Amino acid sequence: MSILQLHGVSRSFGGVRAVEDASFTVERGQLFGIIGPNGAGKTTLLNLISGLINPDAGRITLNGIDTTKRTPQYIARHGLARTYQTIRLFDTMSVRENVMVGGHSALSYSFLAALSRRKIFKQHELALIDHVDFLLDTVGLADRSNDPAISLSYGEQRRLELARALAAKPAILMLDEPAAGMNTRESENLSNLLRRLVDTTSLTVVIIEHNVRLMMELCDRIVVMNFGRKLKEGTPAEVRKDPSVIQAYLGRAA
Amino acid sequence: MHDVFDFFTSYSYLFYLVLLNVILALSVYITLMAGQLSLASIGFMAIGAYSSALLAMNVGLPYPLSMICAALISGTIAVLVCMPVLRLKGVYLAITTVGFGELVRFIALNSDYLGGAMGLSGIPPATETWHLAVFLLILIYGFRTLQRSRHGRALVAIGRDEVAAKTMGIPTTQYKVAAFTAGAMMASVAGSFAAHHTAYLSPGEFTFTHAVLVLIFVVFGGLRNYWGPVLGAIVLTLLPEVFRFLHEWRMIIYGISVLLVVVFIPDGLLEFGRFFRHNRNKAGRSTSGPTASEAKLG
Repeated sequence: MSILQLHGVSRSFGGVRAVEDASFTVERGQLFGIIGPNGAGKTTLLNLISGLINPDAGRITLNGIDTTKRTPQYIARHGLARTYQTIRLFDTMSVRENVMVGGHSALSYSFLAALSRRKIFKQHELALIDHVDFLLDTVGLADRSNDPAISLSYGEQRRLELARALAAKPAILMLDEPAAGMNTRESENLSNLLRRLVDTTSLTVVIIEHNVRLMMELCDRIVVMNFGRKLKEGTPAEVRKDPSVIQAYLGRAA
Repeated sequence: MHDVFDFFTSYSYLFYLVLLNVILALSVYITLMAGQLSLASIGFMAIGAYSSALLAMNVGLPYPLSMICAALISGTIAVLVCMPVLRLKGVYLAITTVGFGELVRFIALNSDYLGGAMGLSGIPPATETWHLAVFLLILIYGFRTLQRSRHGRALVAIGRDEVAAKTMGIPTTQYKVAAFTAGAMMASVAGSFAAHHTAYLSPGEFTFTHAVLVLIFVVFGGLRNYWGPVLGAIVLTLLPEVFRFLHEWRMIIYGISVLLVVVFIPDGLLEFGRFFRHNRNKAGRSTSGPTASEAKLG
């Protein structure tokens, strides 16, 4: 069973068709890329999948469950985590606390259990802190864990968002331009990290990125979007050769 | 020893006032944690005060029970009010909650059953200052737990970025309703304490000015953790008393103090120490942030 399926998903804002009739399937353990020029509807697509907006038409299934009209909370609890193009950190909280919020739905103790200092409270919190520190180490922010999130550099904030999304132990992770604002070395580190995560765990990654070269090297499969429509889907090699894709990016040949 | 006892008896009312204001400040703080600027606390304080007074006078409920029933009434009203009101954000929410407080006050003012403008007298006095102290200790323990639990982190997360909190799987609406209701019940208990302390109630005690004063306690103290509102309420309650010898000038001192803190330490009095530390080593990043202690587990 594939982890994510879209069937004819459409969404308009006023008269603008942001996403029109988008269909594709993401398989478990894939690094799945979505590319396309500005305004192609890539971020809208992620918002639709994560439940922040509902589609006008079409169907979205996550892990075999129909999530078309579900709330973001429901979808998050069923294994989907994401980051944002415009970084959305909890700015006054420390780096570690941000990642701990990411692990919210992995914990289940009640507030009464916390008040009565039941064992489950301490166990869950300590296990979470262990996991969080491991993730901060993974993204290279271990030495910043007590600093407020707002004190981090742009690239560091992107890595923190990644760690926060991973804290929920998601089955599928969606990244919206994770390499924006990163230098070449940082984005190389990021793609190595993503590759390692996908290869060593059962994680599936959907990634939107403008850096086409990075995407061609990184992804197993790529969807090209243009004006809200799916232009082409295939392996990076297939996509690279496709004349319609070249035209969308570079314009019509003279 | 005798002197200590004397000190407590002669300043008993002041202790009571400080404790009452700290409880009220915390009731506003819990909704602010979740980013909700609500000024409804005074309204719920009034509901708590009138409910427990009437339950004691007309139904004959004993004192702690009347207070608990009043808190449950306030909690129920809070949940009902929440549903339409918490769809609003920022100033719109603030204005609506001010409207709620005024609505409660006008009902009290115009209802003969509630004593009208003359107020309600003959409430059985029962509140001792130590009752407030015990309740406050319980509250502090609650806030301490909240800060170290997933629930407290979720509230702060909602306050900082609701959309991000949603996609972390946090049921934002439930948390906002819970925070609003908990704040309402705290304010209600404060109201019950007040009713059974002075044995008299009038609508004039629950005006918009009081609502704003409580908000000032919180902002003055600082929002980073629950000690902010506690500190703010203590300092701003004692300030006019300390400067009593200045007569009518003392309220000017009060105003200037608030102004100075807001301008120079916008994060609140609690950040006073950090303010100086920050200025001293502006170049280096602070490695031993106070947040380190927050991450520890109790």
